[in-house]
Amino acid sequence: MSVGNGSTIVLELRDGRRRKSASHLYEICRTHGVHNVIDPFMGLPTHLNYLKRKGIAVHGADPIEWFVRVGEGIVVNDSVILRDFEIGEIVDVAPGRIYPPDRFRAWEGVFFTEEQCHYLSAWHENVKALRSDGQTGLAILGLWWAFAYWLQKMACPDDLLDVPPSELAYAYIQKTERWVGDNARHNSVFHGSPTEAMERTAADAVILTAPEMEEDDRSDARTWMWEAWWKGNPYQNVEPHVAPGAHAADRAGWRSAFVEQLEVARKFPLAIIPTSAAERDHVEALLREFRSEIAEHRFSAEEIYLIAS
Amino acid sequence: MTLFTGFGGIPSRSAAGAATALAHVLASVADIAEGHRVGHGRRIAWLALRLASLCGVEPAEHATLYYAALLHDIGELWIHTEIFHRAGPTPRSESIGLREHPVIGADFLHRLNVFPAGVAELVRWHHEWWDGTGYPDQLHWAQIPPAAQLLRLADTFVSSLSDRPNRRALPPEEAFQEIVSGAGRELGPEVARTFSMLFQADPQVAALADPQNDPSVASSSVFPMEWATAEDVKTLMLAVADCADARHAVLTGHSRRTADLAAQIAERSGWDDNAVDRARLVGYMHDIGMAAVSSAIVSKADRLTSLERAAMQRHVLHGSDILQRIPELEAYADPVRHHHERVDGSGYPDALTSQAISPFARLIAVCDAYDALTTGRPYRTPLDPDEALARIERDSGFSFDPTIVQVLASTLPAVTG
Repeated sequence: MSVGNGSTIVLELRDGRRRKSASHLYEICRTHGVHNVIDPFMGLPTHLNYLKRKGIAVHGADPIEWFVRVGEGIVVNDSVILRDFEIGEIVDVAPGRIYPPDRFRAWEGVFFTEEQCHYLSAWHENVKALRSDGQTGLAILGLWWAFAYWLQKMACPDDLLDVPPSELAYAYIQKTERWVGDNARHNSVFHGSPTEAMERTAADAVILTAPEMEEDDRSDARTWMWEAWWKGNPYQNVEPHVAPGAHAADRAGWRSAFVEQLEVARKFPLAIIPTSAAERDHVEALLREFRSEIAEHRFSAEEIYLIAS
Repeated sequence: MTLFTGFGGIPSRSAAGAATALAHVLASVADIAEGHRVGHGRRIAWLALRLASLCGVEPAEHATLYYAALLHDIGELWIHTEIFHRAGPTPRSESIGLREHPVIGADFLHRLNVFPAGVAELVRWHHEWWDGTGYPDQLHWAQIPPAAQLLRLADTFVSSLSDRPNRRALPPEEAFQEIVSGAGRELGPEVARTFSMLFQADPQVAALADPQNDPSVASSSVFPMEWATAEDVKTLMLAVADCADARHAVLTGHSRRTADLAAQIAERSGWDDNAVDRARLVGYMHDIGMAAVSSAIVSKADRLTSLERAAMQRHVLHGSDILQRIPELEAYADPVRHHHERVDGSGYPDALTSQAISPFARLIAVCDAYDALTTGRPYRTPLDPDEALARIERDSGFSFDPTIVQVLASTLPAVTG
């Protein structure tokens, strides 16, 4: 983090260069005859939504809860959308309703303005009051985009327009309608450890994300802040909930975390492992201890998939 | 006979020149299919390249960006929709279908394998939005390659300068404001900032809205396909034929079949190799203007109204307009314009008679009619080859050149086995 103009702290927004393209994953599934796939480290499950819309049964899991709630909106949910008046009830501060005024005060003047903190509080209450899992997931997704816009605006204050919070959130939640569709298959998401998710699910293939090698071993600040928002606790420390071995600071730690996943994933006929040119050889060497045949789909240096059977 | 002597009838000294000309045909077909005027892709390419220079994109990547910009919407040819020709809101089912066009376009270019690999990748990602709400892959922030971000911006700006059925063209200043308001959502802040500086410093950017002073016109030959081989030229010719037919399911394969038949008749007629190649090329390109015709008209089973017929007939004008703008293919504008002329003067668009119609146009008229009769249309079932020939022979001397009909009759046993 760095200190921006005034006293506000500007988050260093990570590049997130690792690519897992939904359309490329679909190509791979089609090539290898995959009809049922699980991603136990799904993250934001927009790629599973794409595969679902293409007729593949998809299952996802993540230890971060808001990813799973979004999954209930765009992976499990086949038909429910948020109508315009319902979006209005989420994004606006309802007249006469009493909101906890200081739920996100810890972020005030640090990451967000007073007004933004009020809205985060109101949105939290309004979304928690929704009764449909599907609608809740869609609302969390739309508000996440608004939240990410605010952080981007903090980093580039002169480049991005000031949009009234409720207008911004309204536009983004309205966009979620396009993610809802039915593939006439059973799709599921699971909140918990990737290992447990793999043990309890049957599928033709598993998308297995190798741990990321990172010097500072941190997860994306945006991800944990939004988890903190969903939990209603700005002091929440998300690190214990991050998938074990999702990040590794040294190769030994990386190996031990990945070996555990590969062991559990043996039950799936096919393993699809997204990687990059820099990591490819490390991943393949370890993979050979578990799988005899390995094919490669290389789309670019940042986007390579090893297909192990 | 070498099939592509002289690059298949294209008067170019090199495969690079021929391939580049054909790539521009593909781009123009994509332009008119989306309801834009010819040159839409070229304008986007011009703007994207200006921005690329300012953003420090490696010069080696400029050709990739150029061809990606030219062909960014080529996938829309396979989306059988009326979106581009209808005023009013887009039904949700159609907008979902439309979101497939980047993947379809990328797959098409990948299979062609005549452009740098990065072209297909940029086409795939030209609708990704900075905030992750784009399609098809929902990439966000720096996951989107800088060149794809530039393409997104140039596409948004140039498209908003064009009239569309469901909205008026914006003046350049308003289009600029749209870009500014899209920073952080549709567009990366840095790319939007660079555009903002360019727009304010260079009046040529605003001139993109003015067909008379379009600054991109001079740039169409900036990046010849130096890597292209004679085989690539052949591939691109077939691609032009496929794209000409792609918008209308009933036309699938029509241009290839017409071209093959035209080449066989030309050969049997004793035309030299070059003329045979040219006949084949006219066959590939004769219907490129059909991309601009609404699929509601082409697939209509009832009699066309006079307005619909006029819209259908304009395909020859669209086709010749495209070819007139490409120096290497300018000579083909005439036969493409006149392939629906009839020797008795009852054809369109110019009601020419007999020898005033070029031999290539007369040849294609026969082959086009034969293929249409034998493959069927929404308004009638296909005829068998003998019935189709009988129908054409009946019109010989009235609609069709009798010499060519005679050769067709002698060619058909070889064609149909």
